[in-house]
Amino acid sequence: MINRIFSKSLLLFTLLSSGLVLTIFVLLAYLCIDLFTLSDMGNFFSFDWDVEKEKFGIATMLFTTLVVSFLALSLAFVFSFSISCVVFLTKSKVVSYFLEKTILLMSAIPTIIYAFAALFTIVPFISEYKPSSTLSILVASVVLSLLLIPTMSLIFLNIFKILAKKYQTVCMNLGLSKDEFFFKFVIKNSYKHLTQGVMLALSRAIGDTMIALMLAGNAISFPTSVFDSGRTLTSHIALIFAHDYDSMAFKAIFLCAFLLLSSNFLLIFILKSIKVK
Amino acid sequence: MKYSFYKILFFSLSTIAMFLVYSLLGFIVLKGFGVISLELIFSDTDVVDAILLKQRVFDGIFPAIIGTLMLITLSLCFALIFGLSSGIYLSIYAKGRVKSFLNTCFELLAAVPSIVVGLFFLLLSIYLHKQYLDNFLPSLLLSSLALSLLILPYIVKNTQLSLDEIPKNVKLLGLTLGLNTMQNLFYILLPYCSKELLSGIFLALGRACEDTAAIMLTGAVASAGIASSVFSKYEALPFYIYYVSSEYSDQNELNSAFGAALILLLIAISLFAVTHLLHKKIRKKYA
Repeated sequence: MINRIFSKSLLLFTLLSSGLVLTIFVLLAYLCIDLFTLSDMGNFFSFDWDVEKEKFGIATMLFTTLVVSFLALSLAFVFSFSISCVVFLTKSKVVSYFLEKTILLMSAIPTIIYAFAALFTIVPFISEYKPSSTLSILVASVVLSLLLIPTMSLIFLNIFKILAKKYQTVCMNLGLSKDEFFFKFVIKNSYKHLTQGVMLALSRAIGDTMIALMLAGNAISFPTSVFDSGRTLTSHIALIFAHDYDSMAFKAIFLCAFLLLSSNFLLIFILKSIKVK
Repeated sequence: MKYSFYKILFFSLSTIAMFLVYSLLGFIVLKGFGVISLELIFSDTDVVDAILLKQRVFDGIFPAIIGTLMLITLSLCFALIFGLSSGIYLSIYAKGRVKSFLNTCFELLAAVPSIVVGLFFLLLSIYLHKQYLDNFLPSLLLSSLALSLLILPYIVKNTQLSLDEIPKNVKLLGLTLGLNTMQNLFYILLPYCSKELLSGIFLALGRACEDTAAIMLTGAVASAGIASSVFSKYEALPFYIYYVSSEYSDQNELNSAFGAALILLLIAISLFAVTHLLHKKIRKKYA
């Protein structure tokens, strides 16, 4: 009897906590469902945001989010791929130990620390070369890429190590050197896992708030170069002032949140479909 | 020799990345180390009085440190109740389709951006405030609920994995001796993987202490003193750093933010170090 009560109450707790994610999704969808009429859609997906003129276009923020995450993702991919290659290929134990421990350490560093430190190091450094630009998309992407490195390189290293454990002896016996084994065999056989790592990092890049908020400058105008200041969807949500949740400005915020949430969910589903194959 | 070009390229790129990371960290450590002192934390209040909450600390970062600690403890309490029970259910009771559906739900929950969680709880408080509860405003309680939702997936996944990894002979031992599932769970399985559960808790605490986006929408403010109840507003280290970095007026204020950043970094790294050490012990156990 107690057994059954126990298992049922566990089920109740599980349903409650797993149901919350669906609740969030449904609530946000419900709150912005009346925006999905044709005339309003044009308004919300335009490039002007001006509360006084009643223009609530979030296309600029969407564009900036895409640019920042794409830049950060490509930089982070280059960095973390090379770090994992060096860890795998190096003969020096000190180097691989140092790099591996650093990656682990990076996964523990609060994002606000990165952003805060970059505000006083990278930002002045860049404005020395380009005086017109202080807070910019470029700075945000560079710092954001540091945040993504541990996520990606841990996955990359993991698959490299698994493949090496399984096949290295065989390939070495066939006369391949360690370099050839790595470049001809390991990389070619880890495409799927590389993609997984990239997807996971992308969902982190889209969802991150503090770095974009503190370093990208939050200008509402459309950015024309990477040295311009820009506002991402996440920082747009963070900067709300209105507490009247029937206003149009607040509805545009819901749309931002809904877009963020659905893009992240989409990424997770793509990730799962890769796993199944 | 054929690949030495690639090797040099990879090596230099890794060096750049390491340089960036360590220069940012080194900057915080250097700047923070110079200013950190009892005066920074307690200002001119008597230390003992401040810790015993007899006197309020006005200029120091003591309220922010206490706020962060209260916040992560409270959110851990909420997350543990739901996280442990969900993890146990998923590992021991759930089967087939229900299990894969629930697993997907928690994976999705892990992918929800923290700002969206913050927005959700802000909406909840606005709605409840308007309709039913007059004093349900953004507060310590609301923030800790939001944070607990953010760390919940980590605890669920960790509990589930550590229960799954118990060797089959240990799992069946109690059952063959006549214990029922619940007794087996409490007398054998949970004590067997206590270290794993503990390491998951520390990992979750580390995640909770760094998050800023969720708490800035749900009740963290720049100066409120130490929260007197769970329904009052509070200060927290990450929010304090964000606030100062956007509106500092003089060098002193900025210095205290550097101190706060160093303290936050130390808290995060020590929580992580505990997780890491526990992991090492666990690996020894299974080796």
